[in-house]
Amino acid sequence: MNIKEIISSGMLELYVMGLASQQEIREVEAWAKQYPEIAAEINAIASGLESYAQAHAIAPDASVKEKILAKIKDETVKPFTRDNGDVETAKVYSISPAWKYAAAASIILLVGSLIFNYTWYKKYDTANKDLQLAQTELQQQKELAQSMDTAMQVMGDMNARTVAAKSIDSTVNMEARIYWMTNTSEVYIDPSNLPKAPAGKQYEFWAIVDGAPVNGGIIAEVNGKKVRLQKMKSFGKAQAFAISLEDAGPAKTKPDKVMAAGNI
Amino acid sequence: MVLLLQSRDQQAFSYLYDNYAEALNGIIYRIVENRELAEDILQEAFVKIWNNFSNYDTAKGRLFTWMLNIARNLTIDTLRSKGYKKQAKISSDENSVSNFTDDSNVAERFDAMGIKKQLVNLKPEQRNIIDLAYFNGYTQDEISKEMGIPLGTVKTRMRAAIIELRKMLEYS
Repeated sequence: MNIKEIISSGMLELYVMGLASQQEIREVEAWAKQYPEIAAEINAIASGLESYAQAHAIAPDASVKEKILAKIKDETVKPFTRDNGDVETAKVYSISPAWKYAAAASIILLVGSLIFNYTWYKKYDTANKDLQLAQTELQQQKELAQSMDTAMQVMGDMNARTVAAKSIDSTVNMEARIYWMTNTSEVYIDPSNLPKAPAGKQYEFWAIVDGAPVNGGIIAEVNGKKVRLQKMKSFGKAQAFAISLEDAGPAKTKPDKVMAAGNI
Repeated sequence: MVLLLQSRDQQAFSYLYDNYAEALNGIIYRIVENRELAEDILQEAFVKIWNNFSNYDTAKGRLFTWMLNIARNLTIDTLRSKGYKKQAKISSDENSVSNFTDDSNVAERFDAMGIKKQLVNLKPEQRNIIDLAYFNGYTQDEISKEMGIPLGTVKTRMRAAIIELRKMLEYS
């Protein structure tokens, strides 16, 4: 087709109207590039229609402009590269509104579920920690109750003979009560009135049997607190009980420094 | 102007709005025939124009044509999504065409814009074909059915109508 034929074909009008097919659009755009006359004709058609549209203009409410400006100000300015020939512009794929809504909905659901999960995990975590704490506490209480129970039994036993091991040095205020069960030979000690052992030292328990000291075990200390009413080694016979301060380590065979003693 | 807009200059955008909002609003209104809905769509259309400005290519045609396409497609999409029937629109379009001819306000506005009143004197069938295609976004096929003319005639009728329109503009 020559230029005249193209112009009189009516195709340019359809193109400007937006009625041309994809194939026709490509053709027209190629012609417009090739022939300035065609480009001018397209421009004239568009300009004519534009005036026609202007003739039908209806002023929108003034608030519309404000709303639009507010909307575009809201959005963060995206980095932008202008297509100046040597920069390739990215292809824009249009997505149908239904999918957009579906995508938006799924993102909202995802975010919602993440928040939900996080909140519930936090709650679960706190509850779990609380539970562990409560269990530890319960265990401690149980142990305490048990030891008190034992203490009550020992102290209340008719066969228990109480021996008070008093401080050798009268200026030091220390005492330990020893319960010796005459029927079973079991020995219990209540070390709660002994001062805290210095660092690297420990208290050991002795029975004086026929004039010689026999080790009755190390007096346990837990976190700086002496465990109340501990069971020591059993003695069938003894004349006295004593408590010594020793270097930390395994039980000694001979007491180094006797701190308290009591005759039976 | 286009460069300013492509660098997302809000002042240029404001200028763009002042120049084209009324014309676009008029077109949207002619399709939806509801002032509030038209303004909602107009608002959406301008936001879309702003966001998509990087896609506008001066080589491919006039800015207004590009904007009009965005506004018109958005309007038609909105109507379709709202379940409007095209059929209902057609009859009212015809009414509005005849109303329009009698509307002296519109004629006055033409004067104000320097466009001769003769513009309104396009033959009804010529106005109709332009309106259907340009304002309502009808396809050739739909125009052919709507106006009861063969598909081949749509093209020639369209051309004749636009030539007439251009002549009137030249005289003005």
